[in-house]
Amino acid sequence: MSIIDRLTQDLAEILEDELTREPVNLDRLCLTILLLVGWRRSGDRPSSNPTKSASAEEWSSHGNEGGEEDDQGAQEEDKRPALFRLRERVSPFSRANPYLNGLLFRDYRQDSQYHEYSLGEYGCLRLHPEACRYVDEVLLLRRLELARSIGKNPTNMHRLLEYFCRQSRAEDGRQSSDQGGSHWRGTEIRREIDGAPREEAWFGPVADALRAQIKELGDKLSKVSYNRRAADGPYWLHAGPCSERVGEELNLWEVLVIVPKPLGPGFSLDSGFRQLLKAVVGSLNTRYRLLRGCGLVPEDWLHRDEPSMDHLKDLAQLRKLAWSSPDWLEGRREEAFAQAFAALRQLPKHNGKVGGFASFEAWCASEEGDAMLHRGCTREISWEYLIAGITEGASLDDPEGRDPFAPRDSDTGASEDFPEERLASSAGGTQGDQGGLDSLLAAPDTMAQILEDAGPRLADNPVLQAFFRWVLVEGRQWMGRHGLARQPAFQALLARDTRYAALSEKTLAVRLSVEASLLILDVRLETHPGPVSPALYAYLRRVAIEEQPEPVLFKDKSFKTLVAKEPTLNALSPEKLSAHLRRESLELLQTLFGAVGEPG
Amino acid sequence: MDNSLQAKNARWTSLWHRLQTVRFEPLPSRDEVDRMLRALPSRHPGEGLADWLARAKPARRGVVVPFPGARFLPLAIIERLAASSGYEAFPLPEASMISPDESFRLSVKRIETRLELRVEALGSDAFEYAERCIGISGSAELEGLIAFLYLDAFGNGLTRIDDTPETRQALARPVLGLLEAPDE
Repeated sequence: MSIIDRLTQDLAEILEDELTREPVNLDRLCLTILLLVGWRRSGDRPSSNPTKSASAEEWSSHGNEGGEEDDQGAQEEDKRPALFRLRERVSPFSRANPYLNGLLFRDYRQDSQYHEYSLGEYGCLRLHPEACRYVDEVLLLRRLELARSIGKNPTNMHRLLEYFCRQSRAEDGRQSSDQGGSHWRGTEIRREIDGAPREEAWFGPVADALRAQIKELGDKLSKVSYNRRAADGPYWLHAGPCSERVGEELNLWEVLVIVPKPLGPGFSLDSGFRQLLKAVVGSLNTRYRLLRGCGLVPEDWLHRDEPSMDHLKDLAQLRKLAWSSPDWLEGRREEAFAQAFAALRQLPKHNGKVGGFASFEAWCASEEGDAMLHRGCTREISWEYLIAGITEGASLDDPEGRDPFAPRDSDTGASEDFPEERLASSAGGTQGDQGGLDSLLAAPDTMAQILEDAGPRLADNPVLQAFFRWVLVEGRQWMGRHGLARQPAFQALLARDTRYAALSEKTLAVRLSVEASLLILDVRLETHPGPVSPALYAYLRRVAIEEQPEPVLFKDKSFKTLVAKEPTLNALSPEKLSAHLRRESLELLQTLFGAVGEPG
Repeated sequence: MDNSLQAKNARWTSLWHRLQTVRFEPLPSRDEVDRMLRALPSRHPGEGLADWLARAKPARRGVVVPFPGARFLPLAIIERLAASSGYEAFPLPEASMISPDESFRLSVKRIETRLELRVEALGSDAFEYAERCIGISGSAELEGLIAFLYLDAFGNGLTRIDDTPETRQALARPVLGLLEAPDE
């Protein structure tokens, strides 16, 4: 599942919740999406005991190297809550909200810097600084331009408008006793050279909104859209006997304004709708994702035509290659970029150029080269960001080659065609239909295979097993109406397990997330061909996954013993040891989890 | 690598990636969003979200509201042993103040018409209170709150408040406390 899948699921639920109400409030909808993506709730701390001071020694009291932890029986079990309580206090939030690490640009501000808005008597609202920009400028107000490939067909945004109209419960001029159902049910959008507006009273609000959108759009059309309209006529929306022109290019906000509201319930569970929404969101996100992958600040680059999408793809690849170089981690970013540039230039598909630049010097002298070198990612960032970075730019949300429903951008970063038959055949589909890598987990025997792979580590832990089955394998929600956390059967499992019974919902979430990460790491390491040193393994578990402070690990006696056994590590100063283990950990994680799913 | 090994690796790699996208936070509830909407002014047509939020009216004068239903749990009372100057009713401290148990350092600096308050959690308390909301009050009660701030991952936080007689009075004997939501 990619972050775009997650966003699509959440958006679908939020859209249904708002658009089926009477009256619909689009400002409330925007605010809800904003909160989803970037809100830091005031009560995001699981701990409530301020008198209990957590010392570094408490961390150290769990200083066994990670691999032994699962095998130490009851004595170790007694220690685990303290360890987890400490870990949860340090960084629970970014783990709770996947959009912070996986979606929003993050490299040019301090991790902990949030925008704080004073909402009068409500108090303080804390938002990630990129959240407003993302929701406004990427999701809601970015118009999808027309792709050459779609011919006369409507864009995905037009299809979304058509879909919403078909769900409408708004007045349509028919009596309830009329045969044939609502006029809205048969809404169609298509190009017509000789179309003409026809309007009845019930159609008036939609016609007005369509005309207002065309007026707002004016002549701000791409060349492709302009030529297509000249050849095949403009788009027309037909509902029953009425029709009105539709703008060549729409954004999501305009679709929401135009749609006759309220809508009927249930559409958020329609897999066809979700696939369409995912295609739309994926297209909207493409330029932002590539900028993020390049380390280019969206604030400066989102609304510019250059670099083109093709060049951005090259530059994202350049940064990814540079990022994985040892020079990068040791602060020699120019050297890292130079080596990556030279390597990419040799590839036949680049024809001697990278991102449109024939030489590294030309790239350095360019505006984008300067920005990538000196503005983006100039500081150390947290492990969670780094782990998210392993899949940066070319991972599961990369549309190329894996997901049959993913967007195919036009040259200018735009929309694509979405087969209508997919909508028609989708009724009653399941939400697990994601395609691509996710299909690996959709096979009926997947859970049995996972249990076989993991053995007693999972088989003997029914709570963790339920988490794997429901959330990771079936791709269902953890929280929310249909979330695992609220299922009575799961709560009964929790009540029977003393390791989890007393935990708050938030603490439980962090605990399961860490335990699942550790288990996945361990299973993947079992098939890793090369040896992994015990010191590196301990560092991976405790710093990268459990997020214990590095100085605490370095003071730990058992860790010191592990380091002492490795002459190459033992000779390093603490600073060099830190840089070495950090680099080795990232390389190992990249090897284990970064390669699958990447294009060629 | 044989097929079954390849399949196993791909399976567990997919699990890893899916784990990175799990949303452990609940969706914003209707009640939460509606309470915020009530605190916000009407949105202008075409107005950006950030601009809209920034137009929200501040709380009633003198009332500091970090979030609805906040509880104030005192952590440290700082007694200033002597005034720094005899010419003002409530002079500002010239040096940083450290709590008796050495958990917190509070520094106050006047910048134009405002006061910059810097709170640092010290030693292991930096981990204990990292990313938590700390209030500064003139008493052990929420009603005396003059400021609040969120500590970063290293236990440091900074905020600016108006320089008023009330805030100066509170800083004569400041109480630092944890601000918590009702459900914590």
